[in-house]
Amino acid sequence: MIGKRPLAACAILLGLTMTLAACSSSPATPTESTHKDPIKIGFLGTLTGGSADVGQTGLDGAHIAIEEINEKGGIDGHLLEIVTKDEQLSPTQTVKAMRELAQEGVKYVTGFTSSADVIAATPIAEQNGMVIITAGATSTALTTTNFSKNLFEVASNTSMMNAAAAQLVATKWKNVKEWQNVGFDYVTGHVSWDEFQALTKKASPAVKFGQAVFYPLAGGQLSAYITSLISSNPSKTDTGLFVTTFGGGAVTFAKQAEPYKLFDKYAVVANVGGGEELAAALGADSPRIYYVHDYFYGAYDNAINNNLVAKWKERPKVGPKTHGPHSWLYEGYTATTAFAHAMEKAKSTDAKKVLEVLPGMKFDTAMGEAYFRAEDHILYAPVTAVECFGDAASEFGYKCENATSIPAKDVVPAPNPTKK
Amino acid sequence: MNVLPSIVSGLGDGMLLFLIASGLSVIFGAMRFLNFAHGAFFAIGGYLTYNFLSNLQLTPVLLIGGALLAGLGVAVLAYVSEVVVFRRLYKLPPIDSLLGTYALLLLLEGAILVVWGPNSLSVPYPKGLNSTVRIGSVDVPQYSLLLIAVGVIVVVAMTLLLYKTSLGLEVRALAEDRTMTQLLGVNISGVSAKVMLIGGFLAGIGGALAAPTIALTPDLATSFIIQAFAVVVVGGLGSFYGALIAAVVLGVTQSVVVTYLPSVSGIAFYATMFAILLFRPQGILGKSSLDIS
Amino acid sequence: MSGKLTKAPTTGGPRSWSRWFTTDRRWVKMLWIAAAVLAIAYVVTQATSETPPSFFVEIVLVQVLYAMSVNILIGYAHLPSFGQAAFFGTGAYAAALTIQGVPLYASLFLAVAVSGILALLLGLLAVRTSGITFANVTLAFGQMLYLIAANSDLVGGENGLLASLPSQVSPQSFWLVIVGCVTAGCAVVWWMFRTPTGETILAIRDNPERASSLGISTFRYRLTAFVVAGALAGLAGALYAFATGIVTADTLYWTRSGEPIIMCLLGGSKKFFGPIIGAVALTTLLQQVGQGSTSYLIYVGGILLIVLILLPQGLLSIPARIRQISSRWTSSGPSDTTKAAAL
Repeated sequence: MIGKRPLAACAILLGLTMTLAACSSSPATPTESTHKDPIKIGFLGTLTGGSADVGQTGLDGAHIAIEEINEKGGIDGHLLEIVTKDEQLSPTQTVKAMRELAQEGVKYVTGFTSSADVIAATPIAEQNGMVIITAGATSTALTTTNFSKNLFEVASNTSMMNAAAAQLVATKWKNVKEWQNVGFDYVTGHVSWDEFQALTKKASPAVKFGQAVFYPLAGGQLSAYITSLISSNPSKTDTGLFVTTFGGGAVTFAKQAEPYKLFDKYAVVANVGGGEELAAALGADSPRIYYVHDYFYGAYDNAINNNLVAKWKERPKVGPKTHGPHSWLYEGYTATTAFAHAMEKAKSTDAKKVLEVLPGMKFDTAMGEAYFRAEDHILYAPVTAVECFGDAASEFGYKCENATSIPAKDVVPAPNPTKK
Repeated sequence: MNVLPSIVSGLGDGMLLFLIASGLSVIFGAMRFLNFAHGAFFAIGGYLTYNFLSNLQLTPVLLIGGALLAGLGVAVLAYVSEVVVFRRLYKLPPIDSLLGTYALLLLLEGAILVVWGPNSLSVPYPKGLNSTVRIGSVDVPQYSLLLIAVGVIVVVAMTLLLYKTSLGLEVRALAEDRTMTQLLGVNISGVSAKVMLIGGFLAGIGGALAAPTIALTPDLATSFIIQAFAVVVVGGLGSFYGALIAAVVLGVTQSVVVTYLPSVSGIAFYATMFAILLFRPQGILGKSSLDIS
Repeated sequence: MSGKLTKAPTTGGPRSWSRWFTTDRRWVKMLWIAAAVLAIAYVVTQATSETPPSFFVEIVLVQVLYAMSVNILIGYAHLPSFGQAAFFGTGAYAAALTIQGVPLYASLFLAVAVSGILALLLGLLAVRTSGITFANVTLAFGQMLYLIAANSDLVGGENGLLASLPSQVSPQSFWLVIVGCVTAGCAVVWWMFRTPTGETILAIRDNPERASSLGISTFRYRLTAFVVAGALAGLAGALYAFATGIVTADTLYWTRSGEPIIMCLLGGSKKFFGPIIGAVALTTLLQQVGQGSTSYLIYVGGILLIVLILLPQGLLSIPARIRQISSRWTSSGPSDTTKAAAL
């Protein structure tokens, strides 16, 4: 039965596979050098699938950090080297990758998009004396119920971003009398809305809360959710929309809301936890939307940030660049530099000593000086809010302005590490 | 409360579902195999539209032109897939064909990431179709009207194709009894290739027209395929009109549940599907259920 | 076409290897014994080694059991379930929820029981349908459970539930638990289809009309198969939970129902060893090939397609395939060079 046709089909397939595989860039291999053994840093992020943007951008940040450190001669003569692993938003992949990293003797791990994967990885880090500094994951659980002496979190967690939003309600958005909500239909979506209400009630007791819709993470057909918000008659003068969605799901909602001019019907639209992916997708016709996230590249004028943005522009990218350097870049960069700072501070590349200096360690980030709070390992850093709107003349079709940094002391919750 | 707005928005949603599922329905009806790669065809249709149109001042005519081009591109891809992969699957029981179509789905999903990158991309609405019109007491997105119009055109065109051409006769014969059709001297592989071309074309158009309403992300291929299968099966196997009715029923039900029972809205789609199939196993317009194993 | 060769044509000289390969079956037996010895040796070394057993091998074993359960449905009982993840995930969640209060064995037992009962409840409705409708009814059910779990505080929402082993259970003894459970699960399937019940299920698969005309309640037998498959999938899910240490809603997602089907087809469904070979092959492919590369899915998809084209009957058809090819070699005379060139 084996004839020419299956073989020809295989040949076509092989050719296609090789061409496609050749198109994709392979990670740079470290150059030969006379240095001591390299220090390996595991980057365990979503490199494929729907959240590949998060992982790949974070990986860019980690690469930028490592190139800088290696240009200066590395840490005590050791060059840094990245070992990439694909998280695939799967605890199984994560556990497997963590075990592999442990076997390869890798002690430092960053990356992570899903907080569930961090929770899956934590016991393995504890058993093997590894240090995790998460980049993309934003769950508050990481520094509370899942607190671990081996775990540190760079990104602003959802509680910090909600606190920043509540702060803005009391200051910048005082005109808003009623807030409505759009969130993903999962636990964090509901918890964020509850938390935002609780925090807002404290500072601004007069503010009311109205219609709240929660749609599936997978997106799909969302017009019913949109009409359901519209039917609650939001007012252009004093109704605000609190949006906690992000990524492709946020874009899908916004695209389907566009014909209804949903966002135009509100006095304030605040996307908390989302970022430029939404502004980019809405393009030139986008109304003014506030984005509340840990970092915005235009908000900080210091050497580290300017350098990070400049290096990002030089980095090659698969597919079109549709938005500016995202928070994910800052997170990957900051986590990686934190390892280097800790090794320098500990004057050692031994993970045990690094673990001793990390709690409380102060270091410079693209947002200025920050530190890992000793009690719960949260990164004591500001949250950034920025207004973006459509602008056909700008590089990516949108423009951002009035960036404000909400200081850490106003947003970081009291330490509450409840595990161990 | 007025139930009309949620029915109308559900109608628009349903039309989009139908456009995604229509190609699958034709392939499924005629060839009886489970083409999971259809999701990738749909996604590539959307991405091609991004390439064709993202730098242009988009007008409705341009969008239609881009959609036709994307349809043609995907039709070619479907044809190549037919020759390289699908051809080997027709003889197998339908469930065995899953290995081949799933593998192709993975391959194409990987290719999308390598070619278009990890960013979510978006296609703007064409000028003049980015707002709503008031019909009676309800605001309807103009774009939904376009989708409904295209849906009607697809139904009419497919009806003419299936019932007024010799190809249509062969396709219907194939759907009824593959072996008998072959015995009657019909060139089965030729007809199969044409069916794949048509199915691919419809998938490409579906992806192109969905593009302005969604985010183009690397996992697009897997995120719509299940809903598309649901529409085909709930509609009744191989029944093109059934798929249309099912898409509208599922779209409207979901929409009404979101409005009136928001706490269970997440599972509305699957609950409706579950209930319909239990009460009417052959689907809304189907004659019998297909044995697939 | 059939590939079955009763007696190879006698040809001597350089081609005698193929005769040995095609007619002499002793090597097959020897291979089996060698494999069994190696497997036992591996299990023992892992169990006595200082370092914890390989997570990858543990997951492969769990997938073997899971694929085995699915093969009961698609290979033997003619019930193409697309929602088996409902039971896999239920088993996983049941294990994670109960392990705080009961010992490991009880927790595993509860996982099996809960998923078996759930399978019975769904089966009472779903097994009345068949074919593609059955596939979609089970799919819809699985997706509903997935969406409910992702949105339920009780099971930790999207962050999931921790499923840590009790401290008195060492990784090494858990390794033995996995090996034991998977072996037992496979043995149940082996045994089941050698009992009258199992044979009736097979008879119904091969000729449902005849079975009904003999007065056999096809519904009851299919339901039995569905419940056993659900319970075994639950056991696989529970083992998965403890091996990974966490359970999230993705254990219920439809792709997890699809994977074991692909495993059965890759190995060769309708055969006892099909899901075993397929689970090993697909898990290896998904977890070891192209990891960390952007082109990961291209490699996986491409390799699967090549396997499909060369071995449409699955990996278990390799020996038959070799026999087929070698018989062509032996029977084709030197004049028939075109055929040989096509190989």
